Amino acid sequence: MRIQPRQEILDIWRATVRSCWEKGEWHWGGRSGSNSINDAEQLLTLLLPASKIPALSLDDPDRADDEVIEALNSLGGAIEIPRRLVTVMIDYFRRYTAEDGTPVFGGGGYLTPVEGGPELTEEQRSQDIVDSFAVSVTLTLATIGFVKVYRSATQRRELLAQLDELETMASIRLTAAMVGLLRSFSTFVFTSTDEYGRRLCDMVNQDELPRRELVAALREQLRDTMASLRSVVIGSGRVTEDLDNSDMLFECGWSWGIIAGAEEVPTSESIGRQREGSAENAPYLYFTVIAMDAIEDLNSERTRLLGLLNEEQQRLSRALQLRWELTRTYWATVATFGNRRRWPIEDIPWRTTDGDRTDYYTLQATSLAVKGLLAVGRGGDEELGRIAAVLVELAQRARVTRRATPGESALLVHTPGKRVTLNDDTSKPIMTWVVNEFSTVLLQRAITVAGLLSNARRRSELLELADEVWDHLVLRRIPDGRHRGLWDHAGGAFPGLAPRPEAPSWYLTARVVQALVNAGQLLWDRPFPRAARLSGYAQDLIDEAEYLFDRELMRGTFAGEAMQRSMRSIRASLRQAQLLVDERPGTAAALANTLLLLLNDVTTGQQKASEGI
Amino acid sequence: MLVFVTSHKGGTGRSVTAANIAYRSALSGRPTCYLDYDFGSPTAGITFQIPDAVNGVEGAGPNNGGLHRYLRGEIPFPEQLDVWGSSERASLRQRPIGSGPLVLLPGQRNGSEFGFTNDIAKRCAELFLRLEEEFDLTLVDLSAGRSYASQMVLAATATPALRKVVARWLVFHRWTPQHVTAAADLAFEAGGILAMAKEYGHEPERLRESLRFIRTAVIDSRGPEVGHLDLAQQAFLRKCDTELSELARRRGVGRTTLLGAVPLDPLLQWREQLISDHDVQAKIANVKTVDAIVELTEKLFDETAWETV
Ligand SMILES: Nc1ncnc2c1ncn2[C@@H]1O[C@H](COP(=O)(O)OP(=O)(O)OP(=O)(O)O)[C@@H](O)[C@H]1O
Ligand SMILES: [Mg+2]
Repeated sequence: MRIQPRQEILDIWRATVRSCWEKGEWHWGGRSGSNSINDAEQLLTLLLPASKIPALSLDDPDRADDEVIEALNSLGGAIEIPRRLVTVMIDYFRRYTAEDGTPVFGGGGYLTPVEGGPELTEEQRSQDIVDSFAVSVTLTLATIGFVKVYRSATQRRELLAQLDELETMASIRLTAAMVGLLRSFSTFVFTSTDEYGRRLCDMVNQDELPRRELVAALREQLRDTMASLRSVVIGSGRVTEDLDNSDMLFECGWSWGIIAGAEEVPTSESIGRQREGSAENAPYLYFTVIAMDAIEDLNSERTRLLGLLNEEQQRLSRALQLRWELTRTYWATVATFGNRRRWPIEDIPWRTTDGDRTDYYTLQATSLAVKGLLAVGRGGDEELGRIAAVLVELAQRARVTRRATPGESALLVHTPGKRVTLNDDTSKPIMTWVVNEFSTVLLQRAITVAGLLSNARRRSELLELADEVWDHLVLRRIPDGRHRGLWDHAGGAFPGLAPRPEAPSWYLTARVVQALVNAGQLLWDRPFPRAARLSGYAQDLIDEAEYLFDRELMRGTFAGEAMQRSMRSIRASLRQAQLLVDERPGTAAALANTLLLLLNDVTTGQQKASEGI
Repeated sequence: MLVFVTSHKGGTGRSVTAANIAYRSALSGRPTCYLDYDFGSPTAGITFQIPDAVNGVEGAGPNNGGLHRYLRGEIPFPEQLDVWGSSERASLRQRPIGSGPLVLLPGQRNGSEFGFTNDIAKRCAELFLRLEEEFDLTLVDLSAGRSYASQMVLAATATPALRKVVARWLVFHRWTPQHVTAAADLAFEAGGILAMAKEYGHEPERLRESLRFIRTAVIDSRGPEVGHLDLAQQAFLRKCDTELSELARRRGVGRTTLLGAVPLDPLLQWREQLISDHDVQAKIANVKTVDAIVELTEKLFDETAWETV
């Protein structure tokens, strides 16, 4: 892997403080102005790596790495950096809490009018958005974790008071975001013959089965999921239709906001008002993926180990976990349905039931498919390899790893991005949400899937793709000015596609950071897959070296003080090679090789000597 | 401001570093004095290169003599040597423009350590008060370990008149496990500075807040100076460094209580002396060393460096 996550993250940190920190103050906002999502992404650019990669942590001034401190030194020294961050975080939570104490999750400038439609009203812009729930989960978990560690590293009374305030606000926001996610979950039921059903069947029917047979097979595979849907009782997404009817099909996942008519979720936490929803009761692929990733954070080992959730949150988290599992299985089933010729997900582009189609959705579906494959024990190299191939093809089609011709429509996914239309409960479009995250998501997927592969060769092939996507993303960094080193200057990769930006896109920068964090975790947490043949080869070398060595010992070659030292060092190296042969066979082979050469010197010397006689 | 420098072990580089801090403080225009309270071996004269004060001053009679004689009440005032005027080093003798006075209060030759009494503590306090009026920085080099000198100054600073004066403590140590542990012991453990301070009526917490550590003769395990080492040695050093940092953190000698570190310097390694800017220009001393000492000096006066974490 050519990507160096640590160095790259530190560079982004330098760029972040250069861009945001001026005259002792943090400046919110970016290309789309300041809003609850943008600002969280801005913070996460710093906090995400700090919370996920131990070597980059910022919460204990005594422990922080020198290089980390150097990278952030315009914030101050080791002691000031976490203190400054605390004030910035407090500022964030205050900004996005309404006067009555209700956390707000508006999309602000991230939302745009539908084509030809009127400007958005203030009310529309401030509507709670699933993206904000999701990013808030990640942000609040990072914040609470930060506070927990930092608290034990300080004695200052006013700082301790600040930390208490910060933790309380973060915890309330976390609960509110979880409640939000419970109220935006959607189960959309349709018949196999209406337009949605037909589109779903067309998408999954790669084996060209007769319709009736197909529906039966699909329902059979989803039987457990359908049964479990009955357990969805709080919030939204409860099934009222008769799913037992053999003609019924469904989809589940997350809508873009609180679903119209969603009930309030009873909770003992004081999260303020639970606002009325207005979103369509239908899953949106984009919001589904983003919600799923956030819920994964809730159930992560770190969350458990640090005890980041209180009891109420653990309860809500279990409810979300159920929805997560249902969604995961549903999408994995649909994406890899049948298997004779090809999986639906291999039939690019993905077509959604509302009639939309784009490569980007295929990319999103890979995320859900991988989670699902792992869950049902189908995450072998064979299956994951097929997903990897999809990623490779997507990269080519999106002109990330292939040369682009100017004006090609494939480039639209990078800029301005895929326009997702957000509908109200009557399926009338009310706003759009533009996503240009394609390349960063591709990078994340490539790294994640590579980490799951157990074949070293396949893994490095996929990391090669990651490297190429990274090269592409590097071209898209803002090249100069105050915001240099941040994203996104699409024109850097596709000349003429877009002018040089005035302000950074935190949306994209945070996603790049997320991908780098994944890459860092790959190096940090995941063992290198062993190549079986290499171990055998190394063992053979060791055996030969051992034999030659024993023979020389027998001959008395190593008698005498001078040779004794060489003997001891050969013996030590042999032992080390033997110890490494399973874990690092390549290293063991290299050690054995040097020993063989050494022993060869000994034998050659003896031969030369006998020649002389 | 009163600054007391101490260390658990001898030979840590306490005296030389402190003398250089005094020198840099004077160069920056602050009236500065340096008191040699290392009664057992008063060697400050060597560092400042003052021939008459090598191993203390010889002074006798009713008016002459070093700190010992003053503290014992044998003379009304201890001798004060103007470093700019009496050093035999040419570069020191021409007092640089803009610098403040730099004064050495040497010990007494063959003075040896002595026990302390209330009278002695009283005289000590009077001396500090007088110097505090005249100097921005009064640096007191105590000897190593739990010494009478430390007891004396703790008793002196506990007197009502001195309580209002800013007093800071610097504990010097080398960057090795033994030194780190020893420094922590000296500061925080039984019989250590905080414990002694408590006995003399100081508030231990306040004293803790005005105590910082200084690491001396540090090799930067990531710096160019280890570039010539084997890869394995470099990796080893780094790992040691990380483990030491962790040990230091656990013992309360971590980054948050660190005032600064002085790198290992070839010149200091061979000779106890002040490093002038000319030494750096002539490349016989490292610029990094001087930078570190200047930074230490500035931090002494920088309130933010003394805030609690
Ligand atoms: N940064 C440094 N690099 C290399 N050598 C140093 C450094 N600092 C001090 N030394 C050397 O270490 C030795 C001990 O220094 P110094 O006499 O100042 O120690 P000390 O702590 O005052 O010892 P004592 O307790 O015996 O008075 C001296 O030779 C000094 O020059
Ligand atoms: Mg000394």
